[in-house]
Amino acid sequence: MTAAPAPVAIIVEGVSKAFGAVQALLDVHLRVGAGEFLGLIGPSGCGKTTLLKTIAGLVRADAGRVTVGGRAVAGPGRECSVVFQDFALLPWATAQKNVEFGLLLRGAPGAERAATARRAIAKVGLAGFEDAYPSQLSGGMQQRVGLARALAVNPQVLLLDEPFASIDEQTRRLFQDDLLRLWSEERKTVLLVTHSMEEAVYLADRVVVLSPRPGRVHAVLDVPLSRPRESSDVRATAEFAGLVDGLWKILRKLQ
Amino acid sequence: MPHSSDLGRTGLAAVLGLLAAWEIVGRLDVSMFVPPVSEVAVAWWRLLGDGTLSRAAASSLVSLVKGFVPAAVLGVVVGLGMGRFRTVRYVLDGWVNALMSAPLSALVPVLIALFGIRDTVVAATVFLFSFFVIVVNTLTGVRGTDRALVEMARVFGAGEAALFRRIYLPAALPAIMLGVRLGAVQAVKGMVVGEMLISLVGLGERLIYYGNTFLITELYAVIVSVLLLALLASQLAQAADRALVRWK
Repeated sequence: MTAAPAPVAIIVEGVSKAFGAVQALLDVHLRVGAGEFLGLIGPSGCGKTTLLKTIAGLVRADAGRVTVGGRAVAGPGRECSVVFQDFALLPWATAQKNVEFGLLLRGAPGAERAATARRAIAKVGLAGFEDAYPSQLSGGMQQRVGLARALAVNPQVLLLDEPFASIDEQTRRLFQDDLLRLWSEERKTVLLVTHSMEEAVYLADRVVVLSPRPGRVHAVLDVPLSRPRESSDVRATAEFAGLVDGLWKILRKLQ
Repeated sequence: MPHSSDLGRTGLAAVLGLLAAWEIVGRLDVSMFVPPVSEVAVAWWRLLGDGTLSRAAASSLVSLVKGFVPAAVLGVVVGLGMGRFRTVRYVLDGWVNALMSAPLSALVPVLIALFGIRDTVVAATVFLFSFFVIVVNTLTGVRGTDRALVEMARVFGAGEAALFRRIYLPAALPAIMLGVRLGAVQAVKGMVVGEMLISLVGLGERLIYYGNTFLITELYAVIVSVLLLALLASQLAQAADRALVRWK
């Protein structure tokens, strides 16, 4: 710990967003600390993905303000990158070219692009698969490419939109551990949208519960489980079960 | 992996079977309009040797290229424009749909009035026959682009130009190449229709001539040439497709 990092990475102040007659978000307030791992959970249609896209600059809020890394968000910026639910990989490009894609769009020169992408691919455990096309990779491996692409641009904030939703259970658990390991190495701020209570508790420092239609912050749950949690038996502890149960009690009332 | 060579063998057997049946029916002298395929082959060889077929085919090919290349280039540009810009789509949609399903040979007299009885009419007919299918396929390809890819590119800072070049164009490429293939086949149709209607140059003129003079064997020799040309055009387009869309 040398220089003190900016204490708050994401500030959401009074954000509202409607799509036609549907009020997706209403007066949402949220602060995410620098280096924090925040889970965002709620029933389907509660606007959690809309909130993530608003922070990413993909969706413009009707009212309110979003600040990321001290910059007011008016569109997609360099502070954030996103990992998408259905991977959003270019089917016509190899894993290497997919990971380079963000760097390419942000204007990195060719040689640097290739080297940075190769490092990111190795980091997510895919070394040797650089020349594979997405169709030749399993779902879990495709999402690792998605994560490598997001990390390659070295963002302050990583926005994960249900990244494990399309991945089978064993692969998901291994991937979650790798994500925690990468997060502790890279010290990124992470916002994870998920519909899995177990996943939210296992990964996050705090879990924010959104209520549906209109989406607003309903509750915030602290997760005081010690770290590192990866490759530990934390899931088997009574404390873990109690936290998941507490989250369920909040969510059940919202259904 | 014996499948593809098996299929190739089955296809070859089917063609040989058809040719054998043709030969038998021809030898049985069922009708003067079905000469044996061996005689057609001899006539084809003779017409190739005396320059009749090669002259006609050369003229046909020139019209084909003069009509098809602009149709492909312009078709892709118009299709991309219609796919990306709502205004362009609204302005052109009606025209494209109307002309795509219209019997375009009805327009050839207009082309003759415009250009006179010249080979330009043939090139223009080729253009009209192949243009619309390329436009519509390109448009469909652009419109079918995965929204998630567009969003992903925007997250990494893509503007309109980068989206076009890095997402919409490669995403639409398989559909564009399908359009080009279908367009190439349409182009050969347009070529023959145009040449038959102006009856002046190319393989189409030979079709009319041999048909009117009841030189049935020679007529078949020209028909076979047209089929070979259509096959060649479609194979070339398919090879281009494979070279450009390797990831599928």
